[in-house]
Amino acid sequence: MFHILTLWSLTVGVGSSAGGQVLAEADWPMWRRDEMNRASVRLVTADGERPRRWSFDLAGRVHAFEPGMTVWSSPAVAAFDGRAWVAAGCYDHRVYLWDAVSGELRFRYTTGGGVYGTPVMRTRGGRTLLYAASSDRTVYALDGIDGTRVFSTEVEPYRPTVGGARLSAPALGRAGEREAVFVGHWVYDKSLGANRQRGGLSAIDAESGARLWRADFLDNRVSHPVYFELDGSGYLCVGSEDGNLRVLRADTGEVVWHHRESEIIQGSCALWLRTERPLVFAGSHFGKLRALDARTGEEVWSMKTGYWIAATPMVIDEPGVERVVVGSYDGKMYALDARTGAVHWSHACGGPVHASAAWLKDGPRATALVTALDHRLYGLWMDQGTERFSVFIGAPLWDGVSLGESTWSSPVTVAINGRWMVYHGGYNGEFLGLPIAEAMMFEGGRPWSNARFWLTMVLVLVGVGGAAWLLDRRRVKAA
Amino acid sequence: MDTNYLPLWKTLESPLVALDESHVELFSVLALFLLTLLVLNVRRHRQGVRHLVQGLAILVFFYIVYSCLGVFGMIRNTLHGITLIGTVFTESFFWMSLPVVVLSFALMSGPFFCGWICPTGTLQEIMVILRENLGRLGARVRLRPGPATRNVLLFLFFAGFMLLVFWMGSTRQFYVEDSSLYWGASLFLLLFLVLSGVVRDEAIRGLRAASFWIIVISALLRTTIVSPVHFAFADVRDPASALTTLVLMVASLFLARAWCRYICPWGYLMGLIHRRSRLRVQAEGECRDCGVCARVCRVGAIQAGRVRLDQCQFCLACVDRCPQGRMKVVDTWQAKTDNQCSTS
Repeated sequence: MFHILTLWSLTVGVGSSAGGQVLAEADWPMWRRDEMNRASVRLVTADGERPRRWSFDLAGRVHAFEPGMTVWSSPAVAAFDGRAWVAAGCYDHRVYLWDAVSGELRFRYTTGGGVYGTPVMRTRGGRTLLYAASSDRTVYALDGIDGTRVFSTEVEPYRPTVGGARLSAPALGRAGEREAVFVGHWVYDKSLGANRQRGGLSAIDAESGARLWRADFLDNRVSHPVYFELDGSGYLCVGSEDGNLRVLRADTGEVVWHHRESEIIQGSCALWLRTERPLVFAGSHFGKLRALDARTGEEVWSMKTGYWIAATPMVIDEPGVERVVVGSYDGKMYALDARTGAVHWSHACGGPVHASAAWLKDGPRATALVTALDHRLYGLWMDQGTERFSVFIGAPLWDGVSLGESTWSSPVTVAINGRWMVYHGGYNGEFLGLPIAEAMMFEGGRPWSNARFWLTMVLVLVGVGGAAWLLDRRRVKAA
Repeated sequence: MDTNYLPLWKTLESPLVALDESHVELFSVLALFLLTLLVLNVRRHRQGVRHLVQGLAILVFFYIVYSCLGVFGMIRNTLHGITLIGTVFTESFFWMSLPVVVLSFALMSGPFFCGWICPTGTLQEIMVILRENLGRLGARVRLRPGPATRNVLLFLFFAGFMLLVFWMGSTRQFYVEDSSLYWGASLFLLLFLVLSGVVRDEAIRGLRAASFWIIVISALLRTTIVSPVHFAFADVRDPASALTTLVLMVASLFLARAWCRYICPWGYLMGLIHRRSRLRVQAEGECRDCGVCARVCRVGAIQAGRVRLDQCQFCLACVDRCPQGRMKVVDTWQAKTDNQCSTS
């Protein structure tokens, strides 16, 4: 069956648009799928059904959890069992897996805490495992078919006075001879008696869940690790809100080099390996995007944006196009020359850009997809930075959000049986699967306005004043 | 297929892991309540001790307690906890634990939460003390602003508040949830109406019930309205809540504990419970109408020598200051039992 699917997928792949392999079985090994953070994949399913627009609404039941914070993690898309699947974690403590074509829920699994990081998926020997890192300090490995727990490993032991925890998205890679899951973890305790915070990165065996190694960092949140292979060895690149960008050996956890920023590093890093001098790109709250030598950590170039960079950069390495794309809280998307850092173009979005871009090539011209704090999904032509489309993806559940304090969902793009889709966990509590063709036909959503707030304010004041007057009149009459 | 369950080991562990802060804060709050219960019986310098407890409570709330103990949040959490009974017990426990502690203590020993512990009340009380000291200072330098000056000042504060809200809204800086601002604006309006004599103080006390039911209905509709002091508990920046806190503090400069008098939904609930609570302040014996008790009561709960249970916050200032010792804390349940015994 698998051979038939592979043969068929190759046939479809040949017939599809240039660039990118079409896969009948595909993993999603880290939060933006590859070390370049393109968050894009081409898939084919056994029945050849083309995906349609769907959504999964969580809006009715969010108030029980952290207000103003993450609703959904960034999605992960994989193909196995003859179909395409999309997974996302949620702050309702659950991991969800849907059929990417129809939006039908395959399973949901409840953990003991919010799942803020993207789940990752891999298929080995006909069995698919979905790994999810939950804020209950545990990494869960779930069976991709029925959602049952295969194993779970606590990466940070519980102690009575410890407060909350935040685990990053896991990354799959190799720790020496073993396939491993790498996950960043941060526990914090703000009680007076035992005020302590601790961040670090752990590797666990992807088959058994056994702990392989652990590297302790300083006392801050750790971003999503990126696994890459260079000169025949596996490495991890991970940022932290302690301001350090670290590259570690994947087999031992030993820090190879680190780069110290003056401000926190909230986003993850991107790597450009297909060049004579491999580079690591990372932004910080200082607003600078830096390109560092992946082998030594030496700075190659830097570019200052107008405000924080909390998003993760994306690298484009197409024939004749070598760009790094990143959004900034100054409200702009930047496309820079990956070699020199020269600004190729910048595009002003309607609000601070919090999300990491996703790559889309559904024709001769490529597109970068990104979301901003004006709650719109932007499609920007990669060659010129002009707007291809923008779509309002829903009013936030809360009237607004705190800058820089939320973990945000970023979009991913997937071609399934030739139709391009974007998947995104919206801030309105809705998880959306939207065909790109429909996004382009979308009329722009209504602009943000606080007119409703002021109208309500007037009504409230009139109501309160009227009620007070009536109560007073009633009292006078009673007297 | 729905695998919406916790593994058995996780279910057993979840009270400590998934909701890991709950036991820390519950123990802290329990300890605080028990301590307060003990010091309620201190007779010498009781008001000073009360202020110490209020300061301690602020520390506990701001540094130890995670879940919102705001006057809106407790109502919302209780209702949410009730909906989880039978499905997710640990979460139900988490959401209901603190409100249940507060209500249980109120039923047993009076609503001392309001007068001794509530952070919203404490912040107002700080401003009342400030106002009293400013008043004394003003009297010394013969500066006593008249009603017109006071109203102008209040209007300026109100206008400043609205301008600030407008600026924050238009620059879209940071609203997490802004409904508490409606309560802030309403408080200013009510204060203005009362101080300018359009409506009378005691006539509009019933608005607390409306406030309570609005919070209940919004919680049932799953619309969250954050409490004024929510910003102190939340991990996120919540300037709307902070601004409303500022409003209620400023309001107390004009009228002591204005928030507690007119708007506090939790205060309404505590008032209901106080009518059935075991301990209450009651006037006994002959009254000389000296008016000391009414003057020291910062919520205006004493009228014509009688204590309004729905307004009383059990601060015991009247008990401490009554020159005839007429104000007493009585055990109403004991009295009923005695009556039943004597009847039988």
